[in-house]
Amino acid sequence: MHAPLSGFSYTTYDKKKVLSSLGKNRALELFSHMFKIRQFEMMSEGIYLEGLVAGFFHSYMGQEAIQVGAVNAIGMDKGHWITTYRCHALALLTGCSPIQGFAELLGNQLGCAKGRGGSMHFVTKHMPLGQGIVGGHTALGTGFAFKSIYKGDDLVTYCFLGDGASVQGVFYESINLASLWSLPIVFIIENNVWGMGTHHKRAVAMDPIGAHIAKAFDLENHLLDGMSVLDSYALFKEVHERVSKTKRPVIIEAKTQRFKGHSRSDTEYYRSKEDMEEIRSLDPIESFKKDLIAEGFTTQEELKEQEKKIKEELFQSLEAAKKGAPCDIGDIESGVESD
Amino acid sequence: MTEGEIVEWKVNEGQPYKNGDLLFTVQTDKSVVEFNALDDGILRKILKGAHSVCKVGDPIGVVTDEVNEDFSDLLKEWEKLEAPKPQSAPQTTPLQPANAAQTPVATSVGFVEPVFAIASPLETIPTLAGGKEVLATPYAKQLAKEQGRDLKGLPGSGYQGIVTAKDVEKAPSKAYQKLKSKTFPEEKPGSYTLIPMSPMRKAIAKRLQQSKQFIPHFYVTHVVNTLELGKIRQQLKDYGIDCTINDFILRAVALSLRDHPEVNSGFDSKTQSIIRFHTVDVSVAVSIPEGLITPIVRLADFKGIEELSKEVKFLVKKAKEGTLKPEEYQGGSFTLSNLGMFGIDSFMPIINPPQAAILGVGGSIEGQMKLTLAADHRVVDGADAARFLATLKKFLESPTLLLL
Amino acid sequence: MAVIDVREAIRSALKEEMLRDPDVFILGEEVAEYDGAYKITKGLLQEFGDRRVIDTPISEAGFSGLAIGAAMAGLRPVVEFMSFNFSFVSFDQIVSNAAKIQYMTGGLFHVPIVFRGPNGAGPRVSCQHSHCVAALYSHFPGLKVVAPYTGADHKGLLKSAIRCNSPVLFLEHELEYNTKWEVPDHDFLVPIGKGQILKEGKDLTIVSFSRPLRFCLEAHEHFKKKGITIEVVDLRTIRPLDIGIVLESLKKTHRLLIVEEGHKTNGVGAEIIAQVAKLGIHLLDAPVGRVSQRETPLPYAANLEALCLPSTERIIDEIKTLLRL
Repeated sequence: MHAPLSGFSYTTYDKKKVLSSLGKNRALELFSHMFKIRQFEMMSEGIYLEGLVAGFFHSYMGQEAIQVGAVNAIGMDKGHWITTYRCHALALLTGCSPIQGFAELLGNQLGCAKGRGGSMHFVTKHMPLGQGIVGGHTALGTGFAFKSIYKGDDLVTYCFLGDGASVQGVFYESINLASLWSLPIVFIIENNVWGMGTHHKRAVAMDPIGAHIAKAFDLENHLLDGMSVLDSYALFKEVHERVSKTKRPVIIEAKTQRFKGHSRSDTEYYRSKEDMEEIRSLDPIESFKKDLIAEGFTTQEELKEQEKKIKEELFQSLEAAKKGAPCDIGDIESGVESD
Repeated sequence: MTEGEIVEWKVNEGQPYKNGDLLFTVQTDKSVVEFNALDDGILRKILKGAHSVCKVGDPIGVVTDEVNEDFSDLLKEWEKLEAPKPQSAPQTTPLQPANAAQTPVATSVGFVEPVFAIASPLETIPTLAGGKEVLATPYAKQLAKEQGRDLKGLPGSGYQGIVTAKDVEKAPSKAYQKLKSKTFPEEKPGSYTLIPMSPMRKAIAKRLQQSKQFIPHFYVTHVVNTLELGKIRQQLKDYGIDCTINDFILRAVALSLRDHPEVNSGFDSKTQSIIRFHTVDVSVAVSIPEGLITPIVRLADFKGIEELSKEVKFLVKKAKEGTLKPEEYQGGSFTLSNLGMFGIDSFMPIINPPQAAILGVGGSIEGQMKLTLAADHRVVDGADAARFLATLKKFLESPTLLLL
Repeated sequence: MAVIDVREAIRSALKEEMLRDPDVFILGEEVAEYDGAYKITKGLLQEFGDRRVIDTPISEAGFSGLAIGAAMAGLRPVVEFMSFNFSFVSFDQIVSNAAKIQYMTGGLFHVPIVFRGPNGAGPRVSCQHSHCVAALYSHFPGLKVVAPYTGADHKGLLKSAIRCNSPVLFLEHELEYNTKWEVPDHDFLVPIGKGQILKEGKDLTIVSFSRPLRFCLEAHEHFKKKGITIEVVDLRTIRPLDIGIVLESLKKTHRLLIVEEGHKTNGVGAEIIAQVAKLGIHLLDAPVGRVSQRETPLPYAANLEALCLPSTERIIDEIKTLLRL
């Protein structure tokens, strides 16, 4: 992990305290969510290689701890969840079933966006968009937060973006509006070090990113170890409590690593085999497994059992998804506009 | 990529590997590509080894989670896929017999009708020297089509001389143009339609084709003076008895045939012998809309003019109505054909087999009528024909004899 | 019936819709405390408060995106662009998000948003402030584009636009804001997607929208004196295009002229002509004419500007050519 510059520190929590507050079942749920996402991404890559999925495909592998911690801490219906094109994980966490997910990738009627969106545009009731234009969704996020103020509800909007997106103009416009009007939105910069093939130090003139932006716009900020699901869980729980009351936006920068290229078409020349070995040694799922066993919540064998079950469930889902009816060409121009 | 060649396996059978390990390399049409494991596992069996050419989707190896997991079912499946397909018996075409000489396609009389090809119609209508495409607005063209007007050569008042709607009012109608100007029709030169023959037409065609082809026709003409015939006919007509010239000719022919049995004959191609008919049965050629038919006046030499006249009228009516029975038009010993009512002076008819002769009658022009006898030279000689015609002339020029 | 100016017509539409539906709110630069750059929203802050009439920073991409997100979340924003020339800054939000969301989410989310403001060339505002964006935005499925001319249409169409569940771009014109019209008092709607005949004629059809209609009507008067009648068709909506009304008119006149304030190349006229060529080629008795903004950024100098924009003179000249007068 890149050590932050002096003067900046991670917001961390006592692992044992978090685990005991979670209890065995909730903690195991965190594990199974992370593993499910990992498997989904892996199997999706498999069908991509088989030629059944085409176009752009962005894997969340390696970053699972962040969104799993967040959604579990808050509950999908207590927030509006918006992210980029790297959206499979968030969709699976906020109501999209694996069948709907696979079907969307395959491009048939069972897909969560009815086959019209594809990998980059998964959608659920709670996750209004996986958005394709870098940074463009941050403004949309402020709209949802605006609605919460307008209507007086206590939902908080969680807007995930990457380190590369953090310098897109509209992001600053969004933060400005959020801070100016006190909109209940949390921007989470998932800094996985690489904006496609460019190291963030070559793209962003701030390090850490979130802390500097937050200072400029007078906002609370946190630096999160994105490989720790327990830190993620605890941080989001605390932040949600606060934002739903104060309505002041928060910036979280989660330092993480993605195990795969930016997308399927990325050949990853910029990371060597040694780099990848080091990166994989930080696997959040492996480290959490160790934590669970150490806490006595489970055993190696039980976890293996659980993994097997999840693999089987996903395998069944993929088979079911493959049986989805092809999109109806009869209504090809329908659903574009409303009266 | 649809196909590739396995270059090298980096893991051996029985060897476990981890997520991310390099398993094998593949040569695609562009380069050598590495395949890394997506998950942990153990390589149990290599199905396609190094240098195997495989299609995308082909199974190339078996991996399991556990070291002793059974995978014999998978292997059976794979073996089925790989089993060589039984060769289906090659389709051979039956050999043509070496000496299968081209047997000519026989018509019913044993000769091959040659095919005379029809020339193809021209692709375009050759234009008059200096002819040009008319430039008109779409609306003007529409109006011209609706009103049947011809826009060719019309001066246009529109943009760049284009013909507009108001110019169309001045355009002449198409019908006028057809007569007046040198405008070309729209039909491309040489275009045609093929009309299939009706059954009657087919029968006529076949019969007369064969007749002309196989019977050695010869023709003898004689001129007959019709003044007396005309007078007699007029006298009868004034009395209310309406007989045609043809009725007289029929009587004359019947009486002549009685005197000349060698002309009242036919030829039997089957037995190659002359048919000497015992009775005078004259086939009278009648033109009907569908073509031609020859109802027969039986025992014509025993019937007087009046009776012949009635009978012919009756037969013609039936012919035109299409109600003739086969025995009324099949047979006969001699045929009489008259084109005189059309103003024809003479013609050479075709014999109606198995008869041996036919008389073609022209019109009476300034008191003269030409008769042409066509006869089968196998049966009738020139002298026979001449003698017959002489008798016929005698009867026709002394028509009182026909009234007896 | 009252005689009011276009400003008042727009304002009354906004007011009526905000009273009718509590989810309707207004945002844009200077719309609240400044009473609106063109005074369209004057008095609305006082009536509805700053929760519903919101001043934004100069941040088109940001506040357009915010409004689109709010629309997805169930509200009904009306965004004012001080000029549609500034909408280019939020082009990505409008085209990649607003236009696509209903379709991309398989119908799970809708975007009932209106973007309104002055379009086309203001007076002497030069190269960057003089675009007509009708052709640009009407290119995209998922967007509706309307451009009213009469006062009644401004009111009725804006109400329809606000009630519509798809994004609508509502194109006004600065130079028409002061024009007075008779506008009905009661609650009435003008349907999106339907044009109207402003003047009947049988010699030539002019199709246009927004301010250039003023010049088309002057041209109509000019030719009426000579016994030539020009039929003037007001499109009112650019997308979806009411090609039916154009074809009906051509059945009478057989000659077509399109007048628009945008540039000629790939403009609204090009689309109309393409549809006429497909659906009604046999109606045409003359080549089709177009009078549009010349192929140059709009110059500042008065004499040049006058020659570059559609004007009564340019229209009359074009009609003379088409009628071969």
